[in-house]
Amino acid sequence: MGLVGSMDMVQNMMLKSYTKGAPVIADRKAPKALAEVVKDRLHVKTPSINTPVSQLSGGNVQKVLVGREIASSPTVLMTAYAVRGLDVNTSYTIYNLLNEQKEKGVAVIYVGEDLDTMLALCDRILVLCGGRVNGIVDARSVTKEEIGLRMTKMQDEGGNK
Amino acid sequence: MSAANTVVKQPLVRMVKRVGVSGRTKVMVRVIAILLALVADAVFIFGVTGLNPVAVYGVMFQGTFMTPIRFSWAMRDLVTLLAIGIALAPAFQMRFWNIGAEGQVLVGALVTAIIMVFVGASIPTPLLFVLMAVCSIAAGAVWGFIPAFFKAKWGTNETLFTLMMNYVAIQIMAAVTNILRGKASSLGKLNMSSQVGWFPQLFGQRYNWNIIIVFVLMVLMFIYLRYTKHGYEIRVVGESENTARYAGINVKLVTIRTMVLSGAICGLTGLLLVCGRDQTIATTTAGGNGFTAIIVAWLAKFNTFYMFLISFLLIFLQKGAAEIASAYNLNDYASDIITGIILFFILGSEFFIQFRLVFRGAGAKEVK
Repeated sequence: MGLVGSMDMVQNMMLKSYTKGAPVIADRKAPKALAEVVKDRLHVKTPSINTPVSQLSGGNVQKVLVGREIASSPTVLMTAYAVRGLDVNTSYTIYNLLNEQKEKGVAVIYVGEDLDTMLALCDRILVLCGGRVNGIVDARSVTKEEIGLRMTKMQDEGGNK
Repeated sequence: MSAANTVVKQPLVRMVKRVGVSGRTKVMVRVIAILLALVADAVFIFGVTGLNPVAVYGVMFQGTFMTPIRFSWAMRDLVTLLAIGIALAPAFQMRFWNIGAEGQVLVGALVTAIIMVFVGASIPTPLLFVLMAVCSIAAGAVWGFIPAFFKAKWGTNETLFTLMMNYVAIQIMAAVTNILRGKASSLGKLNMSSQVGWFPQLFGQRYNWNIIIVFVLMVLMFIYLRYTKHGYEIRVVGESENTARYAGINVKLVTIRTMVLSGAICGLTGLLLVCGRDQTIATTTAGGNGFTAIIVAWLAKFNTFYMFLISFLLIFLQKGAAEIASAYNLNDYASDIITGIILFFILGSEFFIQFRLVFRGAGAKEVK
């Protein structure tokens, strides 16, 4: 979801912007320029920006998607498992992108499972336990053990473990 | 590790998806397919009838090209098929299986004929044509709107729905032709004496108007699907409704709008058939073109210019088959088999454009 597999990078960039510009005829210049920028900045490995995205590898598809969403300069960015299935190198490209967004003052919501990553990446971590919120902790001071406890055991009202 | 451990029994033939197929390869595969089809046909012709295949192909060619008027007739039939193909293109691009083109054409033709007969004499001719065009387009659009509305609202199956609408249209058509016919044995041409509502002759034929109008439609539809915002929305909805919703596209609106357009062009085709070609109506006015056009639209991948080529091929085969049947006193089935074999090979060639076959021996070398 978010991308159309049989379409190329340019057309997928259009998904967010096709309503803009002159009436009736869809503008292709801006999405094309954006596709070039995304391809260069995120090092998307593709034969050309006119290759259907379904023919790219999973990591590169992810880069195209994240690149497009960030280019629309959001105020809130929600990501769920943004690096699932990606190699280490690509994962860090994505982390860096998210950090850049944070510096710009974008509110980033990152849904993830890897505690090491989350401690490094996040400012505050909201822990869920059995589908319920089990406290919001400060990532700079909290330990993995504390998060682990909160993930597995619901706290009582007074905040005692 | 010993060699014996690594030997895995490979299948004799494996299918490998082609990536980045060049235009040249596509053309090559298709040309080879047609040549192979001609060879297979030659075996059939010689084996069953004992005729010289080359002579038979010559006769087949004459079906379309022997005289200018034959070519003109072929073009007339081609644009009928092409017009419906153009009408189906946006619906199919949206993955909306509109197999109701036959009925949508019929209602367009029916409304045109009714206006021609009952209003034709009382209003000026230009106004009559405007009225017929508006009403036939509206009739086709309504026939397209109904299944689209039900699909958007209640998620009904559009394939069954559009198919059923064909039968409704055919029955209404049968009833109206019977009423118009009165006590005469057949309906005959409408407004025979006054010729009101017939297209005027253009280069000697009324149907040349059809050819011009359909060619204009072909270009317009190509632009609509390829370059407009509507065309983009249609493609996104066709690929994935979830993605479309994510992008803020109103899927229901696009579904209905596209089907109204599809039906409207079918309705207009109905008008062209009545005013430009037949000057009468019958339950066979659409003549199965509504179904053949499905093949045209699919083989052309919804590209209207390819549709022209595919329609040409189908009409060429049809005319050729009829010519063979009369020239050699074969029955229609024999010539249908010949065209069928060619169609099979063309459809089959699509597989070889998508995939290539790797044989057991060839694969092993790559692994080393």
